[in-house]
Amino acid sequence: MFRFLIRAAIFYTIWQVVYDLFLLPNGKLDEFLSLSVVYISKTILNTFGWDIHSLGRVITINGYRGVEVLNECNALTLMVLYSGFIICFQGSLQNKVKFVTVGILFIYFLNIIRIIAFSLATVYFQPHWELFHEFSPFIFFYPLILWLWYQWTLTGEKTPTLSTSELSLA
Amino acid sequence: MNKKLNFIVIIAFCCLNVIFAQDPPPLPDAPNQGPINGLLFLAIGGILIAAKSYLHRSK
Repeated sequence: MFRFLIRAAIFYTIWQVVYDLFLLPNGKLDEFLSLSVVYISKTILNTFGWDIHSLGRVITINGYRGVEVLNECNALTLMVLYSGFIICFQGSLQNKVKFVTVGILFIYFLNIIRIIAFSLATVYFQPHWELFHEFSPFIFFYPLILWLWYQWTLTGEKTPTLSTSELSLA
Repeated sequence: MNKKLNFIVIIAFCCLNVIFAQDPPPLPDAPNQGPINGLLFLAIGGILIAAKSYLHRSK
């Protein structure tokens, strides 16, 4: 457990340094996540017949208030937090790659659904939009992430790990 | 005539000074949308899940 916490602390420290020094000034990753989420959300709402347009990171249903997908809203932090747990907890590399990939894709698509929900919220319950925005991660992300983490701990328990007593010298 | 022109220039200068000394109009604030919040709760949840798994294994 202690080793897990140390690994996690190192992982998130490295991530924070890399993000602050390289990814944030570069901005391409954040921009890609935000703009692609806006584009896909707009396309889906258009398909369902909504009169909607987007300008950069802002998506607006005509006649209602716009929703802006800021860097903090593109779920990158969540993706890293999720991945950090999987990487730092014990398990085989193959399973780790699977869980991280599937989890990140899930978070990405849930964020699209969340942005769609925000846009529709401007139409149906604008007075409660702030409240909805505040609690949205608890509805969309956290149950799934906690469930995936739990599944991962079960998978990790099944993964055979070599202890020093099981090693034999050739 | 000259005196009147001087008076107008001085008054105009004073008025322009007052106008340009005003604060610029406020720029629009950042949108009222915060980051994804409650990450601390998620992190605590993760630690609890990991702790439960380690305790279960150590039994």
